[in-house]
Amino acid sequence: MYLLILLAAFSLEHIQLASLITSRVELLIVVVIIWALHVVKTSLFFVKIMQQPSYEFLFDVTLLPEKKKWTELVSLQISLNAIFLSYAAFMLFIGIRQGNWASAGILVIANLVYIVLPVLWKHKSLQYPAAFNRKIAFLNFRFPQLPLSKWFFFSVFLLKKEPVYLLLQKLFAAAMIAGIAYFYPTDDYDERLLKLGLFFVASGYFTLTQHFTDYYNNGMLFTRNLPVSIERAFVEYIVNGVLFTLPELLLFVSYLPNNVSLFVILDVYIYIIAAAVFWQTATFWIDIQNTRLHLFLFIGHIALVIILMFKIPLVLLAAALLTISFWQLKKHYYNFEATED
Amino acid sequence: MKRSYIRKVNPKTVFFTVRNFLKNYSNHPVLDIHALDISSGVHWFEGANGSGKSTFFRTIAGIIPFDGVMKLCSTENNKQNAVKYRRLVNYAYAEPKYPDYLSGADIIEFVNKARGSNGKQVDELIGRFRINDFYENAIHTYSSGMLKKISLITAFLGEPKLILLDEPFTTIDSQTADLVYELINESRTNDISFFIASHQPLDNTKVKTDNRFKVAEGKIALTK
Repeated sequence: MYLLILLAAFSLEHIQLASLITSRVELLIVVVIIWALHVVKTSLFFVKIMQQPSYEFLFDVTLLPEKKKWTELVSLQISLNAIFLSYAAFMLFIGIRQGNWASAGILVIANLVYIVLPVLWKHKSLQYPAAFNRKIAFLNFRFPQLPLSKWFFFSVFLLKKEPVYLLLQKLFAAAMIAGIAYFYPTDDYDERLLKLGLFFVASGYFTLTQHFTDYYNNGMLFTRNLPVSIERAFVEYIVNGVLFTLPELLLFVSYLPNNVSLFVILDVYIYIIAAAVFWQTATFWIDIQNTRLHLFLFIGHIALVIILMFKIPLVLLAAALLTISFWQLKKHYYNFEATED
Repeated sequence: MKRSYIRKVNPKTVFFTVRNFLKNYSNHPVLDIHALDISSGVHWFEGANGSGKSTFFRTIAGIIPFDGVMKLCSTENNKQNAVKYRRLVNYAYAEPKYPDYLSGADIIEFVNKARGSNGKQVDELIGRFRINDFYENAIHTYSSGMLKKISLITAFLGEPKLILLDEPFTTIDSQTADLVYELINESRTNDISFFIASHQPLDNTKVKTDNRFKVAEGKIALTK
């Protein structure tokens, strides 16, 4: 999805972007580090899955014949890395065409390492199931226990339970914002480019649903017994959205040229908050595992990109998203069947 | 599955009403209650593991959805007056699960504000349950008994008419169990009713139960 977003966002410029990265090793190393973070993130997800009793049967993979077992593990890792593997292949092509052999070498070695090391680690871990029950210090680091208002519960959940996701998400947003700020003064598309960039940042929030679902299902179900109105819950999701998107606002304000009007800043910021709210409430009414839905979302995004090219204010889309979110929350909240791990 | 029979209760004393209740998990019916009327008071729900006691309590608490109608005091409907209904129905989990990155104090404060109860009530319960030493620590440091105390405290906050206690006497020490009996007796004098799910028989010398319901084979039947 990130790849699609990147490709779509830089449909005209992404070849230049890849050329720039492959021609400068220091930029390529930054990209390789981001991929490493993705590998760490998917590995932590693997640990989380394997710790659940309902997935214990997966340990049986160790009983498969050697060839079949290694094929399964390598296929799994390739599918987990697919999000950057295809882009790495594209960059490798650009690098070879430019004759940047050092960059091509780094790309090949990094991607091989990102497959081989996790596969070896997974193989060893599957042979010793107890390893999954050991606490990973990185996952369980603690902040000092200070009294916490309910408004910060979800933010603290993300910080403490999903730090890698948060870091990756913010890196993606930072790269997009820096990218549009870099292209803006030279681009003929004027403010539409800014809006498109932030639109794609907000599109990246679709993964928020999975994390909000984890947050809600694992420990917050007691709130369903409390006398909290839908309107109050909705305000809470808006506050979550404001806190979640604060880094984007800071980046947006600090990176952009001075001639960008306050109205444009407000227009895009309200939209990204609305998107964050929408993907939280999707927990109650969207089956995020539904692949048909992914196709629908992709087509919807393409349609919205075309609409944005006609200078439709993002705030109108924000209003539509908030209305849909509230309406669906009202319709589905009390019928929501949570599943605790 | 056979449906539960209509329990005849004097309409004037009906406190809690269940009609055409059906709860499925993955299209498998867990509870099917045609009609059930329960008077106010203290009621014990007994049943084997997996009989549906916790499911029934969670539907009453509004935590999980169901088909059918539930009404409290003839008017407050679980679905139509969701907020007002939840103000009157409190629930304590059999095995409470709270976010381990929060503290017991965070949970109690959160519930306290949502239920609009006063600080005095909170302080009193914290003192009586003897949680002063640990309730400001992160939940990941708690034992199951400590966690249970947090859940029991939140069940007594606010101004409920009905408190649902799911296995309230498991994992807690005898002193705390005595306190729970004490709180039940105090609360019933204030017109608060209790539905208590418990494997173990309740101690008749410590609390007088008005009715005993058996939960089995997807039905709920009065046995006493």
